[in-house]
Amino acid sequence: MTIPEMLLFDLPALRDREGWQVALQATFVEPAIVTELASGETLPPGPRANVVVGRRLLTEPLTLETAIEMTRTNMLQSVAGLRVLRGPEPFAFDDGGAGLSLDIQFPTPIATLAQVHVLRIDADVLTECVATVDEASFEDRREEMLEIVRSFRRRPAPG
Amino acid sequence: MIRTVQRLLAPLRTAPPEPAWQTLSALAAERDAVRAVSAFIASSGESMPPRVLSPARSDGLSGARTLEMIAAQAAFGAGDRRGCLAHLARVLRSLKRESAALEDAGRDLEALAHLRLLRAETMAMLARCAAEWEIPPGSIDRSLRDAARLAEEAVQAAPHEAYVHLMRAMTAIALGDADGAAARLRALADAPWLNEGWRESVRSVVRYAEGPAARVRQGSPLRALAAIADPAWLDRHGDALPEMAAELALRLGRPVPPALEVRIVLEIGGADEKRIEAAANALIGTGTDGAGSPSIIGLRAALRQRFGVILPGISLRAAALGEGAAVIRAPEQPPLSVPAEIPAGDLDWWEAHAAAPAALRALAQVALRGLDRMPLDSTLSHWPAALARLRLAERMEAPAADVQPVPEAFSDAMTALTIERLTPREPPPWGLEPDRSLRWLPRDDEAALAAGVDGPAIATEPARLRRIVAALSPDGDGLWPALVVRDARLRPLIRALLRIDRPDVPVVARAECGGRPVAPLDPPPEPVQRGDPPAWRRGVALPAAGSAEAPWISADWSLTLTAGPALHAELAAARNAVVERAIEQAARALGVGLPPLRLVAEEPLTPRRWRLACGTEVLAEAEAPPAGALVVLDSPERVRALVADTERLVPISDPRHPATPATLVEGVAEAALVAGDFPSVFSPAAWVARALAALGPAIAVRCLDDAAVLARLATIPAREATALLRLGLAPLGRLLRALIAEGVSLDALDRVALPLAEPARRVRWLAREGLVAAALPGHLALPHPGTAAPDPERLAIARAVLVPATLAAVHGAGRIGLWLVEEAALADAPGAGAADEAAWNDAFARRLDGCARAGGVVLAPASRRAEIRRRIAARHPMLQVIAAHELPRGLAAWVRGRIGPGTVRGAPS
Repeated sequence: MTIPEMLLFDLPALRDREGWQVALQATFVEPAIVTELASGETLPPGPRANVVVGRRLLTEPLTLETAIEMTRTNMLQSVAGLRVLRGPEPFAFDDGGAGLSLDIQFPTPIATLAQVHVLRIDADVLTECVATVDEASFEDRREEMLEIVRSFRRRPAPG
Repeated sequence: MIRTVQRLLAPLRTAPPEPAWQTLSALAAERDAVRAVSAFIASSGESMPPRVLSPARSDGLSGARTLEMIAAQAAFGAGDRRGCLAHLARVLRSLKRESAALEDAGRDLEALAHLRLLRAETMAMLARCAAEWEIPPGSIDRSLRDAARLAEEAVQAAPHEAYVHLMRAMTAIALGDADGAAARLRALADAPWLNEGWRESVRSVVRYAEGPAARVRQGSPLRALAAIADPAWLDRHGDALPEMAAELALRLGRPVPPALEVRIVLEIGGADEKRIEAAANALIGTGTDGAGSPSIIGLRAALRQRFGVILPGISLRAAALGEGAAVIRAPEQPPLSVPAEIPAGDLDWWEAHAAAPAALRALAQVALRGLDRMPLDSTLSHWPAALARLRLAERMEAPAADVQPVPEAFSDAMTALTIERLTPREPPPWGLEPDRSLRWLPRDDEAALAAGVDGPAIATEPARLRRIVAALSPDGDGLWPALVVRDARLRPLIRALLRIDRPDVPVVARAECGGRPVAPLDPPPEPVQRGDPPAWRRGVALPAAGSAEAPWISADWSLTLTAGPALHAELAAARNAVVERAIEQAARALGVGLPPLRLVAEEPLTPRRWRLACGTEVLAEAEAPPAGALVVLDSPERVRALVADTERLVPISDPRHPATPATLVEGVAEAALVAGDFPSVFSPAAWVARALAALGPAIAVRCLDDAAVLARLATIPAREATALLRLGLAPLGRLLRALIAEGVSLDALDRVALPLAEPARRVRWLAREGLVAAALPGHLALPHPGTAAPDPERLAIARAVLVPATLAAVHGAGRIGLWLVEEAALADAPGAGAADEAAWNDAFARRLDGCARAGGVVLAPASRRAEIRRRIAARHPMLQVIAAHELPRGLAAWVRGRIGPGTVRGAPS
């Protein structure tokens, strides 16, 4: 599951502005499976699992511990009903990179969602992978989602 | 209540008896002196000046004066101020004229002395009228000055006239000097010259002066009631005081005081009762005190102004304490001795605190600690009221009115407050004042408490709590501590745990502290060995036979709950209806009637064991948790504080985790206290009740015998009942039991009657394909194995009607979350009776835990529906397993989970 080249080639760009920061975010969403009953009725899917990968340049040195604590504090301050389920705890990526993970859940008007936030720092780039699933299936799907996150790797340099 | 108040009021009604004023007034108006005097003597006889009533000098002049005096008395009793004063003025003028005439005529000394007595009596009455009605006597006669002096002059002029003494006393009472009046009359009651009739009258007025009714006239009924000579009186009358004060005030035409419940007791020490009472009076203050007055009334005004709460009633009592000492007792707080050590700055919000005596400062501190228990000064709806209680627990002001609009994003008040507190503001919240010493809650303690959040409750051992509390003392600079926790969401919970032992210690979250340094708690509490709470079986083992195939008891299905001695005592408590309520609710949900529950104590059972039997069959047997098994809840006060501080214990009572064991409280009474608002707070008895509710289908299956079926039929229209009866009672009973066993409600039984009774016309049974084609709207084909269950076509038809009705009743306008079980998920399922079947079934059912937590419904292939239901019934007895055609039309549904092929975790390989 990689980002289609078409998207990468057409990365949007704006006229340069001094001091502006740029961050990239890619979203991977599981397909919507519409269930069709024998009667011909269809049932819409519940919340679709997804993984969002965000990357940004660090403007000042930051440790993983500080970064995940900032993430946690920001979420506690901005998300009502948020509950930390687990972590922060060490996380190992398939490519050998080290990260920290944090499991949370929070209510939304349609369902309670659960997320795993995994942070890693490569040189001066902070990567945050957020896997989101319906909380009711979190226990069953957590490992599946972590497997996806674990497979994160940096794109090889062109040429 | 009214009768009680009246009975309590009876001893207060010791005022002199009142004559029939209207009769007297009429007789006086008719100038019929003889009958008027007779009537007056008959009805009163002791309040009237004897000289006036004396017939010895019944010449025309004195006869007219007698009538005037009677008319004045009648007018006084009837509240006719103008008439009363006019009569008295005429009497005074008459006496003045006669005295002048006598002096001109040659000084008849005896007659003049008599006139002086008459004048003294008239002046005494005038003084009383003036005091009662707050008018200057000089408005009647310029020679007369204030009422008190006038009454005094009357006594000086006629020192041996009991009447003028009584009038002086009533004048003093009306002027607010009930103590002085009582003291003087007590001396008079022993006077040797007083005849017995007057002596009794004097004693009567003494009782009146000492009673609260007289003290009401001192300006504040509450003050009067609190400051009576015998403080034990308050003990005797307890909570009825506010009503009594209100009634007294009404009788006296005063404004009705607020109905304050007496919740705080202030015990005052002193050398004798007089000094204690004087101290009490000084503390109470006057009715005109404002927030700036160092008095209880001033404190009440200040609390209302600053925090928006009403200080409850305070009972002032004498106690065997030293001079100046006092003890304050308030609910859910440790007693506070005076003088109390109060953290610097705690009382800065009250401008009068510096001038307040030590007892009052301590009372203010007690008030601060109980802010969230006080009645709010404003009327708030549920959400703002919950927020107000949380804010008050943090010594923040309650909102004066509903917050509109309520932020929808805040699912609960605690979250709202947590977020609000994370925003820096001025002045800083309680605990973050500059002169606080911030101390970390040791990391291992916080971790231990946080771990409890995911368990049955936020729980800690009392020893751990004691160590934390012991370490919370002012630092070397005398700065009072505030405890800092890392997790903002834990903050209110930890504050709730601490507030019983250390209500003076605020708890703040790290995120609220900004960059302020935080010191370790010194000495740090030693780590505590974490262990499991006292062992008890969690959950209830459902009988394996939870289906229609289970043996059915038709002979005697009365329900019997047998309990060990300790649990029996709790279940049998008069206030505990929780078990019966649970059974009733289960019956209502299933649409059937259930028999009453018999409660039996049985010694051989261990103290907390219980057993439910239907007839002779035991349906379930389990151990109720010991009271206080979750050791943090070691006192009802702590439970109340915990519940009140957090309103709903988010991690504990998460509605998405209904199966999570909830907070246990110490006893039945405490559960009853909080159960209404906090349904997840359980007593051990409520724990049993919940277990019984889960047994609802199993109970109902066994209780639905022929008689119960007939009773149920009697509740539906005759046409439908007759149609159902045509099926035969026994087959009908089997069908209904099969439905109930799977949690299908019979509430809409009447709707299924006609399709069931006439399947041939409405339903086409396709035996070869194993299908039923029904003419039910929206459902064309009902696949069904049609082999094992009795009356398969009728069961299919009944489910097609009743399952949608059940789901619609449960989910209402909400959206049904479906967990789709694919047929492939059962590919490796062992057959019925296989050795590994139970283990496989349990592991399979665990995959539906999320569905059960979320209140979802399992959607199964129609041909495997019954099988799937059977496989998960032990773990999820209440989970509905339906086929697609049983989905209610018109209700929104979506697929939230899929159970596909794959290794079932925990299943044997």
